[in-house]
Amino acid sequence: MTAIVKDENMMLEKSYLNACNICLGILQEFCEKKFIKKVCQKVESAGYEFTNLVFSVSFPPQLSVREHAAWLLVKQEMGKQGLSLGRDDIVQLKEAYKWITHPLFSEELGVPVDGKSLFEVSVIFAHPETDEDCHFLSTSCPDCFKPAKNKQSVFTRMAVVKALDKIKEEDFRKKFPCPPNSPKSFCSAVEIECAHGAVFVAGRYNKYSRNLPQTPWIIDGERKLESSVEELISSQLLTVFKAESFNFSSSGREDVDVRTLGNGRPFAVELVNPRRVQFTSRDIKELQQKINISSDKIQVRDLQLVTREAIGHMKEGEEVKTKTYSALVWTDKAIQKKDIEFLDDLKDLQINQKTPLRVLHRRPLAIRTRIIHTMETHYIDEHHFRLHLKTQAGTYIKEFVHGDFGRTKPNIGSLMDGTADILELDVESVDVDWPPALND
Amino acid sequence: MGWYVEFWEQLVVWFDWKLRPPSAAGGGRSHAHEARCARRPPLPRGKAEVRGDLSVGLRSLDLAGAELAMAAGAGGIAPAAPSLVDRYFTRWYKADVKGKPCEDHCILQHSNRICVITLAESHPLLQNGKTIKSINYQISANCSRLQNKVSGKFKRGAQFLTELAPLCRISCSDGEEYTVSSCVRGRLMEVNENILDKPSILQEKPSTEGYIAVVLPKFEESKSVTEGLLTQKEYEEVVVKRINNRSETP
Repeated sequence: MTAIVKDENMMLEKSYLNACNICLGILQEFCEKKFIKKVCQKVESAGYEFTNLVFSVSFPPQLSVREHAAWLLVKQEMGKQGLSLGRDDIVQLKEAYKWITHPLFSEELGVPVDGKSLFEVSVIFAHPETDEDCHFLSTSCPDCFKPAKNKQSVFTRMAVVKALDKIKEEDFRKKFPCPPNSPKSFCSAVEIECAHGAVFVAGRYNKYSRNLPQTPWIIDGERKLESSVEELISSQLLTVFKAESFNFSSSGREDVDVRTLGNGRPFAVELVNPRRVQFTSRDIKELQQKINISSDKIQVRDLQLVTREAIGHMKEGEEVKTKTYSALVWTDKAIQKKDIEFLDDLKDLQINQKTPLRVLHRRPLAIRTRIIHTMETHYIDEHHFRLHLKTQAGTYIKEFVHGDFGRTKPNIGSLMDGTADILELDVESVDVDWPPALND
Repeated sequence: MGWYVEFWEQLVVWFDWKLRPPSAAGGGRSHAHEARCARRPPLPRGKAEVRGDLSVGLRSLDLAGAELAMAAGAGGIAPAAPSLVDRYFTRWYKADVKGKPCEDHCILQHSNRICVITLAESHPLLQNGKTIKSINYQISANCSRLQNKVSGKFKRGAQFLTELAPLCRISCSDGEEYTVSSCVRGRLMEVNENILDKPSILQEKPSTEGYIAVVLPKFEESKSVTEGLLTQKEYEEVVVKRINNRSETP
């Protein structure tokens, strides 16, 4: 069978080619427009939004072995002419492949190829017929091939390349034919995939419900409480960004029965493999409104696109920054206004908190020293008062009020020489000035 | 016969005072206060939720002050706010531990399976006239509960306890000695060192500050660990029976 290829200047007649014994067909049919078009069709049908792309290709490991054989032969020939040839003097197969294909992709998809792009098109080639070509390396360099993790083959590309670096030329030529044998078949592209790197959306949330967990509350497959802060915010984002999944993180969190007031708590949502990534600030503002209309249990503000550094800011906020709270306190002893005034004067009170019993099943037992920076009391009646406090990050407020069986010392009860309990708790502020406030 | 009626009335008073939540106890409360206390605490991360009992503390946007005012005007006797123990723990009991009459223990089990070992109200140590001289966590030559060291999330290194494992020995001024036992299987998290300095706390607040120890049962045994124990109701019946038996002896 002959295929006639018309070039601008020449007419070539070539017989239907056998697969090259070095590149196994990579530089043959897989460089042609037909293949590029096939890949691009798949990319386009996947429905991603992108302004550039990075192309990653994976060759079967035995290709490195054949490349190595070719290099040794060329080196030998050059040596006969008195010229030396270093490894870096030849063009790597992968490099050559990319030189040819990048412009073809750019032309077909209408966007530049950029190594830093978040949008990745990946092609994986395989050639099962010659998979055993690599096996001889495990006898020559056994320490390069560690026992396989899971079910994957131990002959990874990295391990093969490492072994080729180590093996002596004579040993190689003994074990592997130079030039390599001709394969019966071409390589095949076993996987053509594309994916977009994660994008991050940050903001601050207020929580107005005393019946809403931060994350879905499911025990033994049964959902105990409807919805969650995480879902109310992230599900809207997931839809709009057309992402595969999300990861929600925040600067600390509050209990189910605690409200978050004031400017709210900083959060960041990582949207994994989003198909839509182009948003104007107006689009984001509309998205914020959409979230706020969808639920009265939470409200978000300062919604914005951010970079991966966002996560670092979250953690810093959680561990280092102060928070202020408002607690409704009940006392067993009858009190007068003057009985609570002393609390207002306590500055930077140091307390020691053993891991609260309610979290002891999943946290290590330890004693945490924390500072209650300031307190402000508002008398309500003989058995109730409101306590405003500003504390160090990581302070368990409920336990500071009721004492957790005396395991938080001092506590409001012990300070007042009686028994106190907490009826209600609100977060008044999370003192982090990130993400940047947006003026609406 | 008259003494029997009096006994029964005493019993009713005793139950009412001892077995209701601590916040309900104590006299001199105004009617209005009781009404105010009707507002129950926020929804706890506790047994109420796990049971699906969402009636506790459900509220949406609210203002504490307004709610208090409303409750105050409501009128009618309302239950006082459940205490910390009531909100988060289930009470289990073991009567006559190790065969010693009336040495009843109360195990407070949190919804996260952690057990707090305490003395039950009927324990001799909590009766009038008893003074505690000392509390000793050295239960044998080789074992002191004070040396219990626990590390990491999985609590490695903890002393493992069986139901009969002794936690401490308590000596009284009248020469009597009592041993407190674990009653549940699990890892010992900690023993209460606060009662070493001030043993009277054990008698003043046996259900909270006066606890003896904290035990973490194995995850697989979370439910089964209380199988051999009495519920609140069953314990009350045992106590009633005891009083009846006592009153019947001539």
